[in-house]
Amino acid sequence: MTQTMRGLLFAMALAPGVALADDGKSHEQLTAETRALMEQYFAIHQANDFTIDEFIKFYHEDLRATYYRPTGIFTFTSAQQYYDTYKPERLTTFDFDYKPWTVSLLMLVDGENAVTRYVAHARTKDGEYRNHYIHMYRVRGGKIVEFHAITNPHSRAHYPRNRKFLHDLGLYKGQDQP
Amino acid sequence: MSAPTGASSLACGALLLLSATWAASAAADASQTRQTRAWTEQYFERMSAADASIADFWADDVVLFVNNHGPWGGHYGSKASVTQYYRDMASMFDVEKGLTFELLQTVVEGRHSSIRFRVQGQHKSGAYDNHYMQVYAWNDDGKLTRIENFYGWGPFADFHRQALAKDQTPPRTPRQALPKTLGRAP
Repeated sequence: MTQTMRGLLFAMALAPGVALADDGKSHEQLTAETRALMEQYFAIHQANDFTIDEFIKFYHEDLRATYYRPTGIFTFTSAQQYYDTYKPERLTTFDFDYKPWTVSLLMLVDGENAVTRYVAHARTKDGEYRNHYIHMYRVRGGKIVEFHAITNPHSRAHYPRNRKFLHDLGLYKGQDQP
Repeated sequence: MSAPTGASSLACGALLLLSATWAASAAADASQTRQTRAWTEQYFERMSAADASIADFWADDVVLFVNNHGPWGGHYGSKASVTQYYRDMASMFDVEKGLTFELLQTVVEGRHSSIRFRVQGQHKSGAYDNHYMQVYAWNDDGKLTRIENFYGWGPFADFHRQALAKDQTPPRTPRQALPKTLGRAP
């Protein structure tokens, strides 16, 4: 064994996080992979010309996305359902010119879990839209398989319109939906 | 195997030094995260038990942000106002009938952490079942310097619909339309 190889092995032994997850990845490795995914995902968030087609690539086909909003709780149970809801031709019926820019306040990553805190600004037909978001994610196989979102809109006029939009799509079931 | 040259020994030594420095830094980060995870778990245990000693975790200058445009939304900028906020919240529940907290997800990194949990119990206005997400910033003494409290609005839907109906009437001045951002007096 060369001295260089011995040095590398020594450095590996010094490295923390030798415990491996079921899939053979260390917690540090999972964290690094999740962080890379979330940074790419959030970079698209921060581009004010993003489309749903760019978002959907990050979602696992078994996506389960739950939103807790003033208009009620609603859940998407697949990436396809999410796409069908927000695809561009559908959004033309949504009386809301949602081209936001976002400010990232915080991103935490821990294994296959992540959380983002950010503020989105947008122009709407009623004026400025400003919203605090918190999203908590779970990643599987390099894609987002679950997220939970609670929002904090400053634009009160947004609520009833958002509720009507979701109601028209059959997604809004009121507060009793799980 | 050929004997290492002086140059390769030097390179190897530099590599070892770099690796050891990186490993020491990574180990320190991991240690900090482990400590924050433990504090977060302890904090959640006290919150679940409605233990008033939870206030021991709050720094004197703790700031609480609440995602709500109702009477409780905004920023609370002192330990006293945060204490009052939680007293107000607790007074709306029938704690004797049981209030259960279920931890669903935890994310910890360095001196920040975030949890997602579900609360079920008896609110004064009826059965209560709600989802929360909180973000914490900790100092090195294990005290919280910032808490961000986001909760689902479903259980408060009727309350918010009434509030929203009021909000649809044009405010007399732009200032009155702003959400409350100052902490309330203790």
